Amino acid sequence: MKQKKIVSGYFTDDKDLIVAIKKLQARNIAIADVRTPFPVHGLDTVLKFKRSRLPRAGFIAGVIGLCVGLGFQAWVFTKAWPLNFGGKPNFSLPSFIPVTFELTVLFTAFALVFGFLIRSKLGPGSDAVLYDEAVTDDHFQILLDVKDSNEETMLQTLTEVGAKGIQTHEV
Amino acid sequence: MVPGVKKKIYAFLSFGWTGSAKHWARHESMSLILAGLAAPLVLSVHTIVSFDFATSVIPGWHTTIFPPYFVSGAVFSGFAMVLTLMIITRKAIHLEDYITKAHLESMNKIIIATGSVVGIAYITELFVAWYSGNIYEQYAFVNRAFGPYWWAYWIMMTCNVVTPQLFWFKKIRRSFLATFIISIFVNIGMWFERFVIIVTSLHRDFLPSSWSMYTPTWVEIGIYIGTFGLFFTLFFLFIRFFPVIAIAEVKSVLKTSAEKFIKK
Amino acid sequence: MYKQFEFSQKLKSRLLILIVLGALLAIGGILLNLDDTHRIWANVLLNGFFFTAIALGAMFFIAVHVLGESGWQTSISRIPEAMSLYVPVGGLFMLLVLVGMHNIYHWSHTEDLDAILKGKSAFLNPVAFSIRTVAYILAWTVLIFKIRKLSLASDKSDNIKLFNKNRTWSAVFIVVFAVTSSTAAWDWIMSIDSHWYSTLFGWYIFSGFFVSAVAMIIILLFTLRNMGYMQHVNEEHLHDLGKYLFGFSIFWAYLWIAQYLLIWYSNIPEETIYYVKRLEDFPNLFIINLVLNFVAPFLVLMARGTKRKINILLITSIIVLCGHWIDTYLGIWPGALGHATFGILEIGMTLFTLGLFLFAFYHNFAKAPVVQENNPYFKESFDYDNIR
Repeated sequence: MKQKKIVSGYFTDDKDLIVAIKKLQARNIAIADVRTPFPVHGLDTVLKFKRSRLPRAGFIAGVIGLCVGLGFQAWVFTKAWPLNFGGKPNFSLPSFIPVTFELTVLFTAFALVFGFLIRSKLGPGSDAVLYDEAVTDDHFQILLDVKDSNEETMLQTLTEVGAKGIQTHEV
Repeated sequence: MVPGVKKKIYAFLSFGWTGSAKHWARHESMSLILAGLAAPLVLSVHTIVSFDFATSVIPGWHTTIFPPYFVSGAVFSGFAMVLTLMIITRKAIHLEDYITKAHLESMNKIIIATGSVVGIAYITELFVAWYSGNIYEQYAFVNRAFGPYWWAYWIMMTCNVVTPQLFWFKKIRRSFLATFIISIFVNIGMWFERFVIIVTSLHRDFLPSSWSMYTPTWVEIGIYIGTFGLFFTLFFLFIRFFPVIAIAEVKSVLKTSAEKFIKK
Repeated sequence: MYKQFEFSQKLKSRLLILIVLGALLAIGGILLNLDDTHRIWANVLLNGFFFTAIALGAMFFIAVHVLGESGWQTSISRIPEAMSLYVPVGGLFMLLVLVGMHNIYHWSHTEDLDAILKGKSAFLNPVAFSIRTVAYILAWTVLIFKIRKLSLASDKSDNIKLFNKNRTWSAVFIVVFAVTSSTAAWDWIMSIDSHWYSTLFGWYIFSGFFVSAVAMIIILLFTLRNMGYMQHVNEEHLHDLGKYLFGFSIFWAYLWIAQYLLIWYSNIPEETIYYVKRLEDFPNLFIINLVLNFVAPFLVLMARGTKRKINILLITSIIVLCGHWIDTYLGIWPGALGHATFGILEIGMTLFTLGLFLFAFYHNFAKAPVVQENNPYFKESFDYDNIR
């Protein structure tokens, strides 16, 4: 397996990070990853992320949950096991509403959380590597992919944009 | 515990979180919708609890204001309990620089708002019971206020409706000691609210032959003490082993990190 | 920088045409239905209450934001402020209703009351009812004028005391509103079905007129932008207004179902009669009410993008406003008339009061700068984003 090299550098302030990213982008250098201890507002726009598709997945799951909730109750109370509750009709929509609502929420929440974990490759036993443990504390790290030829220039550029603790990692 | 083992456990529980910008973006997007779902879910939880009472035909239980009034009562008692625990925790583990008077004041504003909503609901119930012309409803409410359980009703009224009104004064709103005392009052008051609703409506049946007074059994007292124990055990475990303040969330609402705040 | 609104002659004459047209239609409708006095007075109550309540909801919108120390709304707060000044005008309609109360309120016929209504007569009698109606209108008017005065004073001075005073008066308004919004709803709407009662009713009516007020704010904002004013209002502000419209439509639906479900489950005849009347005599409107007020805004405004586009917001607002007009109609007609009527009388009265409302709004909006530049939160209202 071919080894991959990554160059990293960190900042101690989120403003410096964003300024540095803009400088790198101006030089047409692709940024592999940015790691921050908290969600830096505006970072997603600077990195030109598309809006997450999780809401859409959640909506679809919600519609499924709604149909399942309503359909199941309708089936149980009219076909599978009709019971007389206080003389109400077997198919009585008002009494189905709470359960339908809760199943809709349940399905949406499951889709969101599991969608998020799967899409981000997170979960128990994940083999993700933290190159710098301080990114969970006070370091804002930029990672750049190295294509064999330009490791030196990468290191050079990172120094120029003001990064500290510049290192090369082999994966 | 051995530091190495502890680190392994935390590493496992962190699910491989690296703080990648892409993950944060997704996390934010997900959190927003989960929060959007959680708000109606809170409403629905307390609504369904109130339905347990209000779908019946028992005087004092069957009233349409129950769903929103239970929701408001839940926010009210929830905030009071949070305040009680927060003020102790703040002192015990020295969070004075993180939890400030400004936070206290904002929370107390919620207390006064929800407390007053609950108060209006009590008075509405009382008024509409009279207005309805239904003798059973009227009896249920007169019995609540002036029957054998009058003391429970008036404890509820004083603790829930009167004491929070003290928060109209800015000095009291911003005082940790006063807030702590009032939050205890609210906790007691909200316990009595449930007591009043359940006991006063059940101790008088439609048939006078079923009338009786309530005395707790040792099982009930045990369950009561046990729930306290369970709650505090879990709470203490949490503050012992997990961060009490989610610093990442605190940081992200500080406006310095937004792009448009960068001065050239 | 913020272009001052001018109530142009063109707009003025258009609104006057609307008012006159509405008045002519209404008079025509009254002449055609002279024998059906119930219908005439029900129309006065419906439109009088609907627009007064919207103005009141607008004041609540301001007061609650001032108390919550929020910033975003300061960019549009002059719109609800100008709307709220309609309360005394709408109050005249409510005073007019006092004249014709025998045509709407069964309990006002004091000579032939049954046992239940006799029991209520300490509260529901013509004298007490009139006193309360006058008291509501007076209390609201005084507080609204007071808050407006403080707001206007803040244009000339940046003294923080004005802002603090405004907050105090907003708190007073909220306290008064918390009580009177419920009691006014019982008096004016719930007592039409004289034997029926529901503890939730006041809050249900409140949720309805508050969401109508938000819808009206959006519509008026659109008209102002269309005329070239309020260009500083950006997508974030629209997004927040959209969230209000979305959230409170759901809240309204929640209270609707809470009231319906509890009465449906318990099945007590004294209570179910309210819905039996509506389901049997107004079956279509009953469903349309739910579709317009809940399904439509819920589905349209769920996505993020739709809350940020003023055209979509405008259409949804118009739907919701029509929906709540129908909701108020459903609160009055079954008790006052017992059958649905819709003709030039209803159209005329609605156009007439709508015209008055709009005229009063533009008239008052032109009297003050379009924004409160001295509000301490004014700058903040441009310094925020909604999460993606």
